[in-house]
Formats: sequence, C-alpha cells, structure tokens
Amino acid sequence: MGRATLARSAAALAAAALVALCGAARAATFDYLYIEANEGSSSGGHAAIRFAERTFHFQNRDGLLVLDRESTRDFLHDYALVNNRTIRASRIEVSAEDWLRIRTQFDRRHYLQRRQLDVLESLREDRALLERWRRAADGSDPGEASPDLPGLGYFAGFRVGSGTSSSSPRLRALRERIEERSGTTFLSERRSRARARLSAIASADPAAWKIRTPRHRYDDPPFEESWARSYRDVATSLAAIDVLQAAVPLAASAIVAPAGAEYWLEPRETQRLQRAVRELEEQLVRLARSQRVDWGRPFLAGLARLLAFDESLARRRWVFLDVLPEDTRRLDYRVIAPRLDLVAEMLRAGSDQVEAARLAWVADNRADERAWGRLEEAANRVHELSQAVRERRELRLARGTRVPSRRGRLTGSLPRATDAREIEASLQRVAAREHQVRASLEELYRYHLITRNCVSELFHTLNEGLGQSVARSQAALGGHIDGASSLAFVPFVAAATVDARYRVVEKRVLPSYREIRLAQMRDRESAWWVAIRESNTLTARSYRRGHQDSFFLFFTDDAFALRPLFGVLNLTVALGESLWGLVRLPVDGGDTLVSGLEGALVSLPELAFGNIRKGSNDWVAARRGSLDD
Amino acid sequence: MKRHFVFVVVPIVLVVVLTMLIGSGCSFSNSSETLSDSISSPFELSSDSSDSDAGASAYRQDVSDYTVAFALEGGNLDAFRSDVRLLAERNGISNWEEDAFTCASIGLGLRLAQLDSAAARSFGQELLGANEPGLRFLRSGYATTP
Repeated sequence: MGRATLARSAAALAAAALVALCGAARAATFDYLYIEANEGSSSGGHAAIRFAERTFHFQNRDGLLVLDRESTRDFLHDYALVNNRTIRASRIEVSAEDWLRIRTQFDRRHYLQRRQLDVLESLREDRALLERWRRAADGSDPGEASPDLPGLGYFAGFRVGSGTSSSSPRLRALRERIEERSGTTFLSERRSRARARLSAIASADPAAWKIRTPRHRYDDPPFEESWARSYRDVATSLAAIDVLQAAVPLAASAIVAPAGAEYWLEPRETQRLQRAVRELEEQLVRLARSQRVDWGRPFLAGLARLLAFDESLARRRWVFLDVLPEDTRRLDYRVIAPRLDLVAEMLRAGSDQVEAARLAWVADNRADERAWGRLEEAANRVHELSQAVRERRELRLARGTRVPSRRGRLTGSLPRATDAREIEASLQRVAAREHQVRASLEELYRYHLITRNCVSELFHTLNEGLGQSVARSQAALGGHIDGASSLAFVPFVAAATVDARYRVVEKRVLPSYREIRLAQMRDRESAWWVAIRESNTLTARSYRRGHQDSFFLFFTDDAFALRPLFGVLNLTVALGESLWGLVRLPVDGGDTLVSGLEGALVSLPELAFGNIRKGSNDWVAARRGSLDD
Repeated sequence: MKRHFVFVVVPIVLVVVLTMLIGSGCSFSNSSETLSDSISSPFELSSDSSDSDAGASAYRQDVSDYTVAFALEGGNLDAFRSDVRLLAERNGISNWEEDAFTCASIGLGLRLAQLDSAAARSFGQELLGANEPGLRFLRSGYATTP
C-alpha cells in the first residue's frame, strides 16, 4: 500500500475517530438504490449506492465496468424523471465509522480508476499523434502533421508568421502591458524556449515516459508527463504567443450572438463587463509568466473571452464564445421537428437559466470563472437549440460542463519526426504499451454478465470497505452479500437480498415521472377516468413518446392482470411497425425496422406477466425540492 | 404440437429474452447524448445551495486527493498540473491557478498529506511561482482544519 493510500486512510480514520468521540458510534445511513427496468440501456434494471448528496454506480463503457460518481439530484433526475424508472431505496444503518470506511472505499476506487483510465487515454493520444506524422511523412496528408490545439480555433485562419492586416487593439494593448511588466524581449524569448522544447519532445522517444501497468484496482499510476500531451501543450503555448504577438482578432464564427430584446446589456451589466475585462487582463498578464507547460491553453481561452467581452461592450448586447464542440454528436432535425412543443418548454427553461446566471454573475464579486462559465454555457445551449429550430438543422449535443476549447491547427511548420521508418518503429512501441495497459485494465474491469456487473461490483466494493470480512459485514451491515456467487447479480434479486440480509431501517419508493403525473391527475380527476385515459399511449397525457422509445400501445407496468393481453397487442403493433420498417428501409436506413424489432423484444416478457418497458421522456423540467422529499 | 409450442418453446424464448435484457444492464444513456443534453443540467444553476455544495465538495475532494498522492509519492510536477487542469476543466474552470477554490483545495491536500508549513510553502512556490493570489488561496486552504 503506497504512502498516499496510508495518508488517505489515516485521514479518513482520524475523521471517523473524531466522529466516534463526538457521538459514540452514532448511527449513519446510506441507501441501496434499485432502479427498475426499462427499454434501452440497463433494460434489466440498475443499482447504485447513495451517500447523501453523492451517488455511485457502475457503467459498462467500451466493455469496461467504470465506477461513476454523480450528484444524487442529477442521478435521480436522469433515472426517475427523464428515463421514467421507479427507484426503490433501502436505507441501511451503519456506524459513523463504517459509513466513512465504505464511502472512502468508493471514493478511492473512483479516483484510482479514473487515473488508470487516463493513462490509457494518454497512450492513445501518443499513437494518434504518431499516426498523424506517418500520414504527413508518406505524403498521404501533409496538412495533418499539426495536432489540434485547444483554443486556437477561435482565431481561425491564423497562420504563423503570416501577419494580418487587421489586428485587435485590445490584444495589442495586452501585449504591450505584458512586455512592460516582463520586458520587451519576454515574449520572443519565451517563444524561443517553447520552440526548443518542442524540438526536444519531437525527437524524444514517445515510449520513454514511465507507465506502471496496473495489476490491482488500487494501483496508483505515477505522475508522469505523457509524450503527446507535452507536445500538444508546448505547441499550444507557441500558438498562444503567436496569436498575442500578431494581436489576431476573433474569427467571426467564434461567437454566438443571441437575438432577442432581453439580450441588450443593462447598465450594471455593462459595468460588470468592464470590471471583468480589467480582471481578466490582470489574470492573463500573470498567466503569461506561469511556469505551467500547459499555460497556453487557458491563455488562448482567456484571450478569446477578452475579445468576446469587448464585442459585447461594443454592441451593447450579450455576445458569447461558442463553447459547444464542433465534432460532437448531433441530433437530426427530423427528430426535433415533431417535438417543437417540448422544445418550446426547453427554451423557456433554458432562458430562465440564462437569466439566473446573469443575475448571479453580476452579483459575483470574486471574479469566479465558474459564475461566468455558467452564463456562457447556458446562453450557448439556448442559442444552439433555437438556431437548430429556426434553421431546421442538426442540433449539437454535449453533456457536461464546457470551457472554451475550440480546436485549430498551426499551419506553419512545427518540429516533428519526418523519417517514416523511425515513425513506424515508434508507433509499434507505443501501440505495444497501449495494448499492454488495455489488456491489464480488461483483466481488472472487463464486464461479465454474472461475476462482474454493475450490481456485483457494488457489493464487491462495499465488502472491500469492510476488509472483505464476512464477520465485519455482518456486524456492520447486518449481513453479507457476495454479488458474484449468488443470483444477487440480477438487479431485482439483489434488491430483495439487501432487504432480507442488511440492516434496512427504512424503505422508500421514489416515483417515476409517469407515476408522479398520475398521482397529480388522480388528485384532480376521478381515478377510473385517469386509469382509462392514461392506460395507452394514444390518449395518455402523462407520456410523450421519447425519440429513443419504440412504439407501443399500452402501459403494462401498472396493469398486472391485463399484462398478457396488453402484451399481445403491443407485440402486434411492434411487428406491424417492423413490417412498415421493411417498406421504409430504403428511405430511413432501417431505423423503423429496428425500432419495431426492439419493441417486439420488450413486449415478449409481457406475455408472461413480466414488464420491462415504461416509456421515457426526451426532457423533463427541474423539480422543486428533492425527489425524495 | 401446438401444446408443445406453447408450454415449451415460448417459455424458453422468454427466458432467453429476459437473460439478454438482464445482460444489457449497466450501460446507460450517459454514454449517448439525447435531446435532454441540449439544455444544461437543471441543477447546475439551481438556487438551492445544496446542489452547488455537492458539486464543490466532490471537486475539492478530487483536487485534494490528487494533491495528497503527489505530495507523498512525488513525480513530475507538470503531470500534476496537467491532472489538476483536467479536473478543473470538468468543473468549468479553464485557469485553475486563478481559482480560489482550486488553490485552496490543493492547500487542503497538503495539509492532509501532513506536510509541515515550510514544506507546504515550498511546494506552493514551486507549483505557482509568483502567482500571489494563488499562493494566498493555497495558504488559506492549508490553514483549514480537515
């Protein structure tokens, strides 16, 4: 066990001891969450462990079982509301020390797995850069030699050493300020050092940086600078200096300028923007002197934001950098077109988010980048959705928080390997390392239906937190469950086993979106009328067909007695859709056929009183309060 | 023949289907974006402070965990900076050296790693150079009781 592991364990146990002293083994609780089945991914059900505001669950990603950690509210929103699945929570009582031990184990596993997977990603990047150089060397694509540099894409069309007829006064002033602070030769000297460093990296062995093939889930990779990332970081700093020295203006496509009267700047917003310009300039002056190798990346993002601020002030209207990636997944307009009423709701909610973010940013006195980032991102998403509708085009989708990182390539020559045989030899060494690490990670994390799945691994990690001791599990939890050696790998069986063996002090049902809607309707209307109207997809008001759902007629999750009859009708409709899909095959590429076949598949269990499908939602507005209030 | 089909073949088919469906568990639409992803998570801008607290707590833990590991195991400083940058970007921060919360979390990590104040100061200077605001935030994080 490494020193870092010992330090973290010591810290956790110290905290546990303190808790014990204060509360003499005061009880704590965590929840085992069983998420019901539904069509699509996790169609057999899913499981998670919730520690207050943090929820852990395993996902099968590229064949590897990856531990994800999410905010509990986001998790419940995704599964219970958007994906329309009932969640059954079993609250398990443990001592405060055991709670901390178990939570720390999940945190550890999450942290270390992420670092191990990052090593694999770094090796992939090494291979990708060498493949670019190979294509450049054999003449098949000479322009490919430069890697994509994050942030440079906001200054599109910029060529090293080309000069430009128009330059940005703001960036000229910033350059002068930096030179005033650090000397007139500072930037050119920094550029020379970056160029020299880039040459050194380009001629170094790409397979020389140290990796440690993980043999155990809790192996901590060393902190090593990977080859391609070093190259890209130094190249980005070179680009940043060049952009500043040439004072390159923003590309026209770099910004989004939302329409609408609400986007005029208010006086206090103008003042706040002017303050933001001063704050950002000061930060960029400091950043230009940073010792970080990757300083170029935030520097380019900062330059681009600075010019976007300028643009807002000049127009007296809000203008934002485009922060959605260009190479992200896109949703066809044909999927959006039948859902314009839903899109209108989404735009209203998004506009509320923009409004809230504007107020928060104006009120922020701490120059918190995240406050600006929330406004920037919310405005981007609303603009993207409204433009997709207005122009009837594809919609860019991107999960997660964004920072400005539009990629561009330096078109001037960068130091690189050019000898084809040398590149090929490096490629083979790099590919071997990638294969070695990948094989090791598969050994540790490969998904297996019975012995290593999202349920079994929850119990495995939980048991690890209690030292893999059956006696300790029994003392701490009231029982022991080995997810791999019984039917407890099946989600609904696992849930029943938890209830039977662990010290469950409370059981709660967190209703799905449809169940919430039905309950609201029954409060206002007669129960039998709601039951009839909401029984089928043709008349139900609680359901708008999600674009990933197959077509079906009857809901069967709350109609046990009629399930086989409804199942026959659903199966008939699905087979009909499949036949129609055969007709439409030349037109839609098989989408309707696949949807029909999937619908038929999930209808089959209904014939034997089983139920998987619940329908899902494309989008659900945020609920006030917690789902389990 | 008909009875054979209903009582033998159909249950087998159903069991096979159920097994297939059970086996397709674990993955979820996190791996494939949907229309829902076109608008920000409804909780990222929630006025409920518990949402932002939860996210901040997780981020602080991540940064301090990385710091503990690096402070005790050593390694390449640029690699550590790069790892902090990746964490920061996932939390909407492009320039972590200027972010009070990130630098304070690094300071907390140094405290958890049980570095004495002189070693922590030296680490901070090597990490942040002459970035005075960053160093100030790091010192305040170090002074926090874990």
